Amino acid sequence: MGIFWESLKEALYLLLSGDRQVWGIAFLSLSCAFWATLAASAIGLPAAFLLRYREFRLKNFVILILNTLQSVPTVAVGLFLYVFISRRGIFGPLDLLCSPKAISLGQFFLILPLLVMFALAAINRLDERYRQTDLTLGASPWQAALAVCREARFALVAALCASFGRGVAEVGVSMMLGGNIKGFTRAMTTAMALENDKGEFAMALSLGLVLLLVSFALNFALNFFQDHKGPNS
Amino acid sequence: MTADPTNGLSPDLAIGPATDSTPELYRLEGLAKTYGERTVLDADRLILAQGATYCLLGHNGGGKTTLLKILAFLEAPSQGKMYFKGQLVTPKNLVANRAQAVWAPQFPVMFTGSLLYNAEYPLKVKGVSPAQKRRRAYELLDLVGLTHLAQAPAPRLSGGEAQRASLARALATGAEALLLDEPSANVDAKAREGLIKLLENLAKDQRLTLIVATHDQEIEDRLGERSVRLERGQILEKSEGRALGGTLSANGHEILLAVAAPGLEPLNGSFRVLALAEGQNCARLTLIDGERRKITVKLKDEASLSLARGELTLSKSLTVRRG
Repeated sequence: MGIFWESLKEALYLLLSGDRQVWGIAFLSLSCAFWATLAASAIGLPAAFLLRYREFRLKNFVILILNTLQSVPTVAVGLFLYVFISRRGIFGPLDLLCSPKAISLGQFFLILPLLVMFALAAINRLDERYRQTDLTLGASPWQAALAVCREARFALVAALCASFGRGVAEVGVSMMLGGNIKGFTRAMTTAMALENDKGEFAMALSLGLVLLLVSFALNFALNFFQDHKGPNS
Repeated sequence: MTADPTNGLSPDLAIGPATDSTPELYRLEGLAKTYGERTVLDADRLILAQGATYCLLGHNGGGKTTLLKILAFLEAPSQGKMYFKGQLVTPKNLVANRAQAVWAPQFPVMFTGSLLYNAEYPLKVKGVSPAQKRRRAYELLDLVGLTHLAQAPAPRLSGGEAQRASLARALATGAEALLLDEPSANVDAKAREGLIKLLENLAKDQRLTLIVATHDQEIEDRLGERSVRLERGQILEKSEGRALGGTLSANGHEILLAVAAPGLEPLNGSFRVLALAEGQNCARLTLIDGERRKITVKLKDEASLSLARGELTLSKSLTVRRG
């Protein structure tokens, strides 16, 4: 246990002393996951509405595929995208490989199915009368969609948190597309794996603590939001 | 005179062409709604006049709610045609039509926020200025007697309060057709009287078209000049109006009928008697007019019908159904 306490002490010191490397890595991880979540919600939320309210052929098939993709291994997403963005791939000229953009892109594809299915579940759970009441009261389909989001906001925010969480905690995409380049594409998870391999437990542990802290902050915010602006208050 | 086993029901249940005094608002032709195998509504022919009040009657599962949702343009019929103000309803004009009819469900949902937010919502989506919005919302809350709860969280209102709040919110749309599903359900006796008075006022003074699904006998008595009875999705009976008095005179097989009632186009003319059925407290006279449309005259309660020396007279109330 000695090594754990020693590492923990050092980890706390690194964090509290504002170690640039640790916080730089943390910032990169958070910003990559943030952009991925933002982009995934821009596409995923409307997609969830389409799946809920529009009838089209192969709809059930699309849902089946999305459900399957929810549990796709992160390395599979990384591998798949690698083919496209590597030098010889069709998006090779964009020079995305081994950049934070590549990590965001990979996380985007990773969390999109999750976000769509969580958002769909959130809207599905809401009583259909909310939307019908909106429409009969004169709301346009867009206004009605916004009102539905307003009523389902707790579940939707939970969906966003879960998606962000999956993005920030994944290793495969960051490793394969980002390349774990020090000071450039080194994310919390890839750095932890590396520092652990090197035997630098303090560094790994401090990053682990940041990850836990992020998770805690997200849940705390979610709880706060739900307690203070609960559906019935 | 023979008893009429069908009670004057005819296969064609149209009310007949609308006259200038009561232009038609809705016309349904061969309209049906099915969910999978189940047909929940099968309205062969139904015309609803503008500015009139209708009660939708019938047991649970008769298709009343489905009909209301279709009339509110919230659900598309599975087959058949619907005309609104003479125009065929299509997916393209659906949204524009929605603004002219508003539906208040039996169990209304209140949006998160205050009651005032809910009452203001229809005005908000229309882009009405905040000051006007607030004034109108308070007017309407006053109308349903809920001003004191304006700032209360709407999802926590009781069933009866929500019912009245839902009516105020529906009125805020300014729609000319109100489609109400059991508006008096859950409302306590005191508030119910106010509610029925309000509905009477909306129907008579503001000339709104009210279509009210109800099991409430008092609403039916006080508002139900015209009614549609639905059973298992089928329109069983249509009543054109309840006349407060009238005269019938018979000359051989011809009957002269004159019925006058508020809000009802006068029925005048000569008809041929098809059947007379006498029940315990009511008699039903089935007539046929020059255009071969069936009319059922129902003589209720103590109304008496006497046919003496070729002269038919009646007293008290009678209900006229045209089939």
